Amino acid sequence: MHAAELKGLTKSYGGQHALDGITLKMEENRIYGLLGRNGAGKTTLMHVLTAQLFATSGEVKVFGSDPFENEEALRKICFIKESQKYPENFRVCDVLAVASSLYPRWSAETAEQLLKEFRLPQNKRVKKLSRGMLSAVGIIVGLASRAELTLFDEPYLGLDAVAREIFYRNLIQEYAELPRTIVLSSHLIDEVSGLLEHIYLIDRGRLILDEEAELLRSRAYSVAGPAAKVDAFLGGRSVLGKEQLGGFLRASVLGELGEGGMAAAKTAGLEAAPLSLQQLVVQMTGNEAGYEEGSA
Amino acid sequence: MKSRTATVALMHARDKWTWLFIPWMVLLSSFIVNFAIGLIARPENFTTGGLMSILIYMLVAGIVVIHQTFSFALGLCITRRSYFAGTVAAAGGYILLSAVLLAVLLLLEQATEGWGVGLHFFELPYLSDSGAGLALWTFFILLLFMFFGGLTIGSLFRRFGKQGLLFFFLAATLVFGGWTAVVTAMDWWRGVGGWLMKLDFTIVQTTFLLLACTLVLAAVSYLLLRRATVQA
Repeated sequence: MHAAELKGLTKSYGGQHALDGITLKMEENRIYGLLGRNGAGKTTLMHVLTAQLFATSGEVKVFGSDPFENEEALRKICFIKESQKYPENFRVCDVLAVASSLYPRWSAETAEQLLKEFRLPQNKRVKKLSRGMLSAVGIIVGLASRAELTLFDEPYLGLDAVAREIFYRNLIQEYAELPRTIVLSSHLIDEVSGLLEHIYLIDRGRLILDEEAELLRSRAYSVAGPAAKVDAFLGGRSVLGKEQLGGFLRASVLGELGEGGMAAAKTAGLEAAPLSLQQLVVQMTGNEAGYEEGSA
Repeated sequence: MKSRTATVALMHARDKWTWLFIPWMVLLSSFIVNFAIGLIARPENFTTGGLMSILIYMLVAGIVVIHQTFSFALGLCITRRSYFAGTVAAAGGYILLSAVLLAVLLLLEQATEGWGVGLHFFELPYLSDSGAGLALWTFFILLLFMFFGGLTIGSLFRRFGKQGLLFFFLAATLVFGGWTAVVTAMDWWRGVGGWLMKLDFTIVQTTFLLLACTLVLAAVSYLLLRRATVQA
């Protein structure tokens, strides 16, 4: 059984596709990265996955069944989002009390531990919390819920580097103790890339990348050196982007460099290195026209 | 493991301010003002509309509760069904509590001949001497009706947004205005009045009519929420 399965999922608003024919399968007990620019459709996708929004067409399945009004499926999901609203008079402890009675695998210990680490005052009203502290509340609920499918949508807005480290460390620890499917949508790609096992990249509502993080490292590379030599090297290769500074050129190339390529680059006096996940995402989603397989 | 409906009910129950403290503060402050008037001005046997404050408050509570908690609950992956059932259970419980308090205060009022100053604050029209049981029932139904009225408006807003709500009230005004215009133009008011007189509902019948309306409102509200979404 898959934790989540989407088939041809489309969500449109008056002819505009927020999500456009997304098909994917998330396996159980893995950590997924859902990447893409603002407005690419990441949040919409997670809302559809949790039946908070309705798909225009296509199929959504969570643990094998449609999540709409499906208590058995929804009980296994915890969705933490940056824009989560809380009732006016709720204090931090009220939120935790409600969440703890919703999730069968809730860990009071984890919640307690994280409250301490984030230095979050339990009796403070959620309304009065700073942006970072508000994010911390979501993170605590998300990790302590131990939900079979935990979705984090930009969970660390306003959190400083130390607090983000606390999040990453606890995420790994929790995952190691009790494996579950985690989906992490994030802008800080370099920070989280080490955590992710599988990457989805969404651009303008379309899924443009669905790949193991391991394999991605060999999926693209950059070459740098004198412009003429780089251009000669690029002949016939699939170029994602170029940056030129005087006579110096750095190009991002899609495809496997391989030992042969590495040797060729070396003999040409060029520097070649795997493209980082963040650079790859920037290259694939940064241009105006949108990314097309095999273009450029 | 607790049922999720119970969790929703307890989620609302945590908010004693919305459900208990604020409505009773509003009601009691109105009572105190009226009591002071009774003490100072010494009018003979006077009634006030102070009871309306808690009824209006319930309408507002119905509107506000969805705005306050629907996205929170759905954000925690609660089904719309559980959300609705839990909300109704919590509101019903608090409304029952308020109705009991009102009935007790009405008994006290009657026993003290209007708190010693002839003040009829908790008395409903036509219900001055029909017993505490009927008073309790009537209070309960009135509060419930107002709450579901608000809940329906809140659900309409949640489902169709600002424009939807505006459109609904516009349509309602047109329909009702049109009906009034037709009745006036055809000079049917006498007939309408006569029909209403002939019905001659008792208080008990009226409460059951209100209960029926409340159930319709509840059904409408649920159907609206079932298709309501959380965008962000």
